Formats: sequence, C-alpha cells, structure tokens
Amino acid sequence: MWVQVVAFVSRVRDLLTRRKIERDLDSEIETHLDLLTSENIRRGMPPGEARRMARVRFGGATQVQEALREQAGFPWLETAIQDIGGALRYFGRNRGFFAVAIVILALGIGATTAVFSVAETLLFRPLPYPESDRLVTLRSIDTMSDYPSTRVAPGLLADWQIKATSFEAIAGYRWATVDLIDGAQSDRLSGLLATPESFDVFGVPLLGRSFRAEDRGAKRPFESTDTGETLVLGNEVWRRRFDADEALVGGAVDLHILNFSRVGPTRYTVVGVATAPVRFPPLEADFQLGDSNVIDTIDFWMPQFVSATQLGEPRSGDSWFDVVARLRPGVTLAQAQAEMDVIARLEAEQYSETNRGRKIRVVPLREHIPGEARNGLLLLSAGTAMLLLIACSNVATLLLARGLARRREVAIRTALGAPWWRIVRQFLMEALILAACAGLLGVLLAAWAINVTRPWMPQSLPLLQEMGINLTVLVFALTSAVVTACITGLAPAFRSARADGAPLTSLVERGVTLGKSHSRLVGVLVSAEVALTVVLLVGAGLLVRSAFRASQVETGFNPDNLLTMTISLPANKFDWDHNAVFVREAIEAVRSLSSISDAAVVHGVPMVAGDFSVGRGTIEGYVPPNDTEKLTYSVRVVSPGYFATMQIPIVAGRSFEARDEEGQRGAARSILVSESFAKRYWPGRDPLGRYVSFGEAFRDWKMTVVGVAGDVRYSGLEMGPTIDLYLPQALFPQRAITLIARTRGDPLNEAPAVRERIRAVDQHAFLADIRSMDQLIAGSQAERRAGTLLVSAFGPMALVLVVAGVYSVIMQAVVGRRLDLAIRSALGAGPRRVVATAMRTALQPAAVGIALGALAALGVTRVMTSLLFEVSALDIVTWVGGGIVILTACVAASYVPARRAARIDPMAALRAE
Amino acid sequence: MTKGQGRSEVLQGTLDLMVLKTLEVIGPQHGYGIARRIEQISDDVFQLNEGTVYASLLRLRQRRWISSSWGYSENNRKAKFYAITQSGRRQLAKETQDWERIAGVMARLLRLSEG
Repeated sequence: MWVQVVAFVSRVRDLLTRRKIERDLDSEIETHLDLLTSENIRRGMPPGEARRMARVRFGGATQVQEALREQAGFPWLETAIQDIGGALRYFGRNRGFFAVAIVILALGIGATTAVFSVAETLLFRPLPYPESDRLVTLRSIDTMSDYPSTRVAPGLLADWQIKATSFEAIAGYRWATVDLIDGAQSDRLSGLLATPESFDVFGVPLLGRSFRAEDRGAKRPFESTDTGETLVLGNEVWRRRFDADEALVGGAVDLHILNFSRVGPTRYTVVGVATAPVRFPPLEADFQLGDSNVIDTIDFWMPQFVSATQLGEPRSGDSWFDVVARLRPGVTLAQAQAEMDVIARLEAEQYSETNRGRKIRVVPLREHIPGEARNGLLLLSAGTAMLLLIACSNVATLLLARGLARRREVAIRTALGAPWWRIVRQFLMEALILAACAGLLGVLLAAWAINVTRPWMPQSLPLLQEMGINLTVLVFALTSAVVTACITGLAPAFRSARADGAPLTSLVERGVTLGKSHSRLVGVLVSAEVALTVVLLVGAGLLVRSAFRASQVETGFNPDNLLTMTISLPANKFDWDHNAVFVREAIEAVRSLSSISDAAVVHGVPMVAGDFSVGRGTIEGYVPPNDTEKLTYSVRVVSPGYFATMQIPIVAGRSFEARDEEGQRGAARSILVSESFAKRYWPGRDPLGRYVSFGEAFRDWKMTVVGVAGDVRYSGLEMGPTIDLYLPQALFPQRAITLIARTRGDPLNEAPAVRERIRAVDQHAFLADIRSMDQLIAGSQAERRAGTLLVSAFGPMALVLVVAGVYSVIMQAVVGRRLDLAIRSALGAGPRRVVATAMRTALQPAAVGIALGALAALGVTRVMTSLLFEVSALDIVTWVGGGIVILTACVAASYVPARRAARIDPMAALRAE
Repeated sequence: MTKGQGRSEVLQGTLDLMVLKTLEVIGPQHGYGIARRIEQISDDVFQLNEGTVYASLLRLRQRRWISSSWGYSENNRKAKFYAITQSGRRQLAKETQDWERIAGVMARLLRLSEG
C-alpha cells in the first residue's frame, strides 16, 4: 500500500516536472548511445556503422521515450485533460450556444434541486430523536363521523399501553403553556403535558429524573387526567432564565398555570432538566394551538397520568393526546398495525357506545405530514422531473445539431486514426462540462428559489422553514448533473462517432442533406419534449384555475382591513372571570383609537384549521335520524360587537346586545346560530325561540336562539361553511381569545398602537399571532398557493424550452437541407412551398407529441383530482387553452426560421457547395 | 528484431530485480554501466533491449528504491548515476527470497517431470 502511495506521489511530481525529466532522459540516452558507439569503435567498427549498431542495440529511442512518458504521470488523465481542453476551446468558439445550453440545463437542474430540497426536508431528513426510524404515531380515526381530529382519548391510551406488545413504550402528550412572571417581565413558556413514557420514547437526555407515579397529584376540575406539581425544564429556558443552575434540580419554581381552586402562581418542583434542546414532536393543530409554528424546542414537560380507572371512559370528546410509540427492535410496521387492528376491534365491542367504527392507524412519525402536502410534493417532483427531461432532450437536440456541423472535424480526426471511443469520450466530456456548469448554476438558482419561496411555504409545515442546500441536496444536484450529462451527451456522441463510415468522402461531399436516422432521432426528441410540455401545461392550468376558483369563494364576512391577534392574561393571575373583564376593557381601549373603526373578539383564530366542536347536548325538536348520526357543531364565543365588526349579516332575529352578557357564568339565555346550523337541525322551521342545551356539565341550561347569522367559512376558503353556535363571551370567559379590529388604514400598521393600548390595560398581557385577515386567508391556502406557484412556473418554463427546441430543429433542418431547398427554389418551388417543407420537419413530430402528451395528461390529471378545487380534471377551458398555446408556440417557433430558409438565394447556396 | 541462438528474452518483471541487484553489488552506476554489467553477468544470454533499462530505472525511482544524481562517466560525459536506497535493499532482500523460493519449486517440479 505504502509503495503505491509513494509511487503515486512521485508520478504526480514527475507529471509536474515532466519537461525537465524528458530533457534529462534525452541527455541520458545521448550519453548511452555515445558510450555504446565508442565501445563499438574500440571493437573496430567504422564510426558510422558503430553509431548504427548502437542504435539497434538500444532499441527505438522514441519508443522508449514514449513508454517513459506513459509511466511518468497519468496517460488517461492527460488525454482527459486534452478532452477538457478541447471542449473548453470548442465552447469558447461557440459562446452563445454554450450559454444557451447551460441556462436550459441549469433551469432543469435548479428546479429539480429546489424541489428535492423540499422533499429532503419533509420526507428524508431524519427526525431529531435517537433511532427515530422506530418512532410511529398512533392515530384514532372515527369512521362514523366527519370529525377531523385523529387524537386519542386518555382512556384509549391507557388501554393501548396495557394491551399492545409491539412497542417499547407508548407516550401521549399535548401542547400547553405556562407563564413565568418576574417583575414587569412576563414569559410564556410552551411545552408538553406528557405521560412519563415520553422521555423514553423521544430519548430525552436528562439531568435529574423523569416523572414517577409519586408525581401524580390531585385531579383538577375539567381535567380527566391527573397532573402533579412537578416538572422537567427544557434546556433553553434553563439556560436563559436560570443560568443553567444545576442546583435548580430538586428546587422549585413559581409558575402561573390554570388553577381553578385559587388565584396566584403555583409552586412546581423541578425534578429534571433536559441536557440538550429537544424539538417539539408533531402536534395536531387545534383551536388553542392554532397554526402556531412549533419548530422551537420544548420549554417544559409536566406529567400527565392515565390509568386503568379511565378505561371505561374513552370518550372521543376528551381526545386530546397526540400519541407516539417506539417500536420494539425487529417489529415491523405491518405487525404493529395488525396488532392495533385487533385492539381496535376489541375496543369497538367493549365500549360500543363511543368506539364503534373507530380504527387505529399506525404511521411512521417521519411520514406523518399532511396528506395533501405529500400529494402536492409528489406532483411537484413529477413536474420537475419532466422539466429536467425536457431540458435534457432540448440540449440533446442542440448538441445533435452541432454534431452535424462538426462532421468534418470528426471525419478528419477519424482519418488521422482517432479510435471511435476517443470521439465518444470527447463528446461526453463536452456534455459533462456543460452539465457541471449547469449544475453549479442550477444549485445557485435553487438556493435563490428556496430563499424566495420560503416565506410562501405553508405554516402547517413548519419544517419547511428549515429547507436549504445541504450536503444531501448537493449530492442530489451532482447526481442529476451527471445523469443530465449522460442523457444529453450519449445520443449525440454515438451519432457523431459512427456518423461516417467513409470518413474521407464526407470531406468531399460537403453540406449533404440530413441523414434519415438523424432526423428520426431529432423527431423523437421533439415529440418527447412537446408531450411532456403538454402534460405540464395542462397540469399547471388546472391548478391555476383551482387557485382562482378558491380565491373567488365568499368568506361570509368582509376581510378587508382586519387586524387580528391573540390576546391573553397570564394564567391564574386573576380569577377566571377576570378574563371577561380584561377582554371587555381591551376592546374598549382598542376602539378608542381613532384609527380603529370597530373591534370585537372571537374564540379561536378564523381561517385556521381546528375548532372547538361539540358532539353532545340536545337541540330542541331535533331527533337524530339514526343512532350513528352524531351531533356536531362548532361553538364560537364572541363579544356583542362581533357581527358588526366582521360585517357578518344577521339574517333573522337580532345580534348580541349588552344585556345578553348579564347572568351566571355558563348560563347564556341568548345564543345565535349560523344559517347552516338552522338548516341542518331545524329544516323548514323557524329557529328563533328554539333552545339548545349543552347537557349535564352545564346543568342542562336551556339557551334560546335570538338570531341567525350568515354562514362563515371559518375553516378556510376550500372548506364548506361551518355549522356554528355563537355564545356571549362574558358568560363564557376564555383564557386566550382573538381580538379582531377593523382599521381605517393598513391593518398591520396599527398593530403597535393596539399593543400599547392592551398593555396599558394589563402590563403582563400577552399578544401573539399578530396578522391581518388577508394573511390568515392566504395562510389557509398556503399549501395550494405554494404548490400552484411552483407548478405553474414550470408550464411557461417548459413552453420556452419547447419553443427553443422546435426553433433549433428547424434551424438545423434548414442548414442541413440548404442545398435541397436551394435546388427546389431554383426549380421553381414558391417560397410558400419551401416554408411548408421546412416547417413540416418540426410540426410532424410536434403533432405526435401533442397527441401523446394529451394521453399522458389524461392519466396524470386523474391522479391530481384531490388537488383540484371546483375544477374538473377534464376542464374544457384548460385543455383547449393548453392545446392552442402549445400549437401556436410550435407553429411560431418553426415559422421564423422556415421563412429565412425561403429567402435563401438559390444561386448563392448552390455556389457555396 | 532477430533472436540470436541461445539468447532469451528478459523475463517480465525480472529486469527490475536485476537492476536492483546490480546496483547493490557494484554501487552507484549509470544506465549504460548497468546494461553492460547485466549482459556481462548473463554471458550475453539475455538479449537486452537497452532502452528498457531506463524504463526500469524510472519505475524503481518512483518507488524510492533507488536515488539518482548527476555525475561524469569514465570518458567524462555527463551521466546520471543511480544508487540503491535503504528501502531498495529491503525490497531486494524480499524479492530475492521470493525468487529463490519460486526457482526452487520450479527446479524440483522440472526434475520431477524429467524423472
């Protein structure tokens, strides 16, 4: 091994000092021959003969030098360098062509790389937990209702922990906040209420300990799980607020957390501290969490305990756990799923009232990203792959055209003894250099595209904020560049290498017409390009039309100039009812600003997924048609001025008034319902005066409908209107609520003034998620918009490439058939005839491409259906429009060069031959 | 090139060994001297294409088994002198051993088939 290294180093050195070595060798040989000659003379030979014999004895001096040269340095490297040099010289002479080819390929590679970086972030990058490939999430799915949440009730979690054997541990957790108040400073910490197994499942490195059974405290009101007054602190908050004090472990901190029994902070014992920052695991969005961007690290863990006593009550209404489990080593996903299927069946029998029709799905944590995003990503990847293919075949066409023009060069080289592989290698080297430059430019393009599109990426996929060019992405870009080089380079290389069976004759017969097989190959490439472009155009067209349709949807309120933010007091700073007082004062304070025309509050952030839904209680006169039908509607707590502020029409009865806010907490006398609510539960009857009751938890208080409000699409533009029941906020105080203010100018400009007013009401008040309603609406469509933006960018790009491709084909045909065309003109063919002949060479394969592309698009768009909104996959406007665009583009691209062909002066052309 | 009676082609790979051994025995020498010496020792059995000696010298130098420096030949011509290095000696010892073992085996084998 060492010998090889030494020899290699010497070789490299010899390569660098080769001039000198060759000079030395020459002089050595000279000396040798002289010595041999004088020896021969000494033996009595005449001088001339002596010299000749010396030469014979020595062998061919040139051959020795040749052999030596091969040994000093690396012959293959040298010829490669020669090839590179040749390619660079060639590109230097054809700068325009080189630039065009690089830009075309860079577009393809750049788009592919950018999309791959999205895929890498979402699908491939390992999650930041030890042995994360064994992590799965268990989702509970209710097949009997359209209730969207797949979270798990504590009773079910306890049942799984007892029964399931596929897992090392099963953990349940939910998102929570606590407040840390210190003088005027208030910090809202966000963390997890988690079962003790969480630390094992996620492999949290701890100083101190995790939770034990003895941490279990008293059951709190409104909570069906037990929590204790212990916690584990996250690494960052430990460093930031407690200076990484190790003595804190075993000590105590005072935290403001929801506590109905008394006012003030609660003392928590710190049993452990995370020694490294730990990321939040996936959390299903809900009305509390909203679309909060949980890419941060966990500030704290508080214990949650589920126990066998809860087995009898796996109520879906309590489903608040996200559940993640760690598979035992060697257990496959299918095995785990099979076991959970059995458990789900058992549960359906045992707790038939709540669990009938419930299924359990085991999903690798890595794959647990929203389904639409996955589909969209697949579509995007397909789109970019097509774009890259188009770019490749485009450049291949260009190279083929060049190859034609270089036949003489190839013929001369072949005649001078260059073997065929040398010529193939030369062409491949050119393609490789092209692809390398294009790859470099492509990566830069991708980096730029990623930066530009990052803010557009949907909030629901927070990981996407971390996408970027990393090593994996670079390797991918490199690979795609090499593949690109092979695809673009191979065909032209082999064509050129075997272009001339009788090389020297082609020196004589200059400017012959195109070979049949050559034009067939070009034709195939053009057809492929056009076909792929048709697919891209139709796909992009359908998405753009969907986005347009979606943006036309009526929200049910006036979204212009609305500022929204979540406001809240530190938990437990005052008694619960003070929340209502604070909210009322905050609304008044904001309203008094001259730049604000109206303000109100609503519980839950509009246009963000997740609702506070109710599935119990009674509705006067409504009998479910069968017992599988469950009551579902969303409850929205609002201030009296809400409908006026949002400009939601009151279609019957009246809006809330101040008097509706008087009375006992939870005992509303007056409610409003949405039109959809009235239609669903009291079809054809007058809803006014009818009552709704939430059931026992609210002492069966009867709440009377005093008005009907217009429908609102609270869950986003693409969802149907929600079925809503409105309650007055003063009777149902909320811990955090969304302030909505109608501004006179740009809403976001008013945010600082609003913040100041609210802080004046309470210096510790928290303001979060400050957005304009326009931003919220855009956010609800972010996935569609991000996807549409990218895919629809591909359509025009592909079109440009196709135009370039068709143009170059015609140019090639015109150059190649100049003689032919000249003879035709000379023989009297009119210019029109000549134009038609030239155009036919490109339009025939283009027509084939359109037909094939349409067939392919039929298949592709069928797969896309789930991504379309109120647009059929066979949307006639898109299809006809796409067809016209591509046809026009092809005709235009072929007409211009064909016109030029027709203007060829036959005499000049013939003379040139 | 014609082949003389009783003369053999140099066995592939053995030239390097011969050059090393020569340098070990007679000390620093130039290419011409090495070629002469090998032919003398072999009683002109080897038909040496003398140019190949230089290829061998380059190979050996790249492996650092020999070193080279400029000097003057007997008739006062500028010539490059080659000398065996420490690692060259080690390599020579190793290859000599290998060679003798193979030669021994070959000899036994050939005697066997004759008998």
